[in-house]
Amino acid sequence: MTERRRSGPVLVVDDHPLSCRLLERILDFEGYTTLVASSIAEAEALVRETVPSLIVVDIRLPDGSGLDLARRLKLEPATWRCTVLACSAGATAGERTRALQAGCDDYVAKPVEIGSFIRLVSKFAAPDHDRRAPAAGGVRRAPLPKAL
Amino acid sequence: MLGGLLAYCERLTAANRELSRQNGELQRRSELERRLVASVSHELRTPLNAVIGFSELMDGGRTGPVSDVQREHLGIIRTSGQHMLTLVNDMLDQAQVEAGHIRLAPQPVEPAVVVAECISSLERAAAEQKVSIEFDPRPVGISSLDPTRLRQVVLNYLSNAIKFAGRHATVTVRLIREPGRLLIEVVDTGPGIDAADQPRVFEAFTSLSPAPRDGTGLGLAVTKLIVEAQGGQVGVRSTAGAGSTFFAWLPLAPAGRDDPRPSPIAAAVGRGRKASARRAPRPMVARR
Repeated sequence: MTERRRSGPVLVVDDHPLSCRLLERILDFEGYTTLVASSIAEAEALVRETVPSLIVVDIRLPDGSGLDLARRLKLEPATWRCTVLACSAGATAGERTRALQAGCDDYVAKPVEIGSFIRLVSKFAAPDHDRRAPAAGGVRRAPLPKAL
Repeated sequence: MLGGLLAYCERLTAANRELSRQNGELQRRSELERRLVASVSHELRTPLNAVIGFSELMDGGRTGPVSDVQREHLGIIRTSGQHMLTLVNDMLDQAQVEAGHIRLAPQPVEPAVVVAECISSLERAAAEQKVSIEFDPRPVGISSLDPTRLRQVVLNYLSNAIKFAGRHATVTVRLIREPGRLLIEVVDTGPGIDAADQPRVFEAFTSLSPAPRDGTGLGLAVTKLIVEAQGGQVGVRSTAGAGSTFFAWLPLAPAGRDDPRPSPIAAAVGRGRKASARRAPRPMVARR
């Protein structure tokens, strides 16, 4: 298999703060720069500024379905090459099928299995920094609540 | 006489209308119930994502050094999270099957490969209980089955046997291919089940063990639903004090090759397996 891995930040779109933070941490440890959006509107604004290499999108978002966002991104000249992974706690066979039909490249069920998630992301996107020890940096996002 | 016939027809039409209304109402309620369970499942899986994910990150040492005591506590958090996830998944499965929403995706698979994967995933649990698992990994032939559902059945039976057979027990997994169907047997050398209790083992929330266990109480009930939804059959043969045999007959989809020739993949997996699964002589006939 010779997948061409794209470079650029990974965009995480999820309105649940802890789900977002978990994905950020996993991606950061693996050397990816992460962008975070908690709604479709925020995601679209970020994508207009920077085209990500890969987008992880939750399906249930406060301003609509993440699958509609995936459909739109796959039709835009600037973003149609981006890998889109749907990520949802729905985890039913029907949801996976709907995600793939909407143009998503794959589907990740929550709770996320870290090893499989990393393998999937690294198939499509190349890390842009070497991170082996936890430290600040690598993530651009709004402050998150300390606890829920 | 004509008047009587007309009145009878009217009563019949009214009864049909009422039946149709009740049927519609039942379907509506079933759909509502399915949506409710799906929604509850979604809401429970979301926080579990954080519980399991962050404890896994810490346990892996990614967030800094972890002491032995901390690792033990993280293990408890992860195991408890996984247990709750199993319960949520079982509830969702049960609701989907009961509402007739089970989706089967048969595809050509080698059942021996699926069983070998299941055994690998439970090796740690078996080692903790000092239970040895025996399995003859030789292929039984590519079969048209839904691998996810087959995996569910094998994992349920096998994890149950590991939990209940007792320390130092032996659990044997057997696969027997017959024309048009596949038999999965999980045989343990545990304490067995009283004859009076056997009809209840596949009922939801039934525990035959006097000691509290960490099962969800739904595993065998869900297994039964999944197998029967495919037109198969489950059962148990057991003698108190002499172990139990849980079995499931699964029909093979007609689209599959009914050809018990070995597949190259399974042969490779069979050659490659060295782990805890000890090779046992292959039974020539199914014990029934």
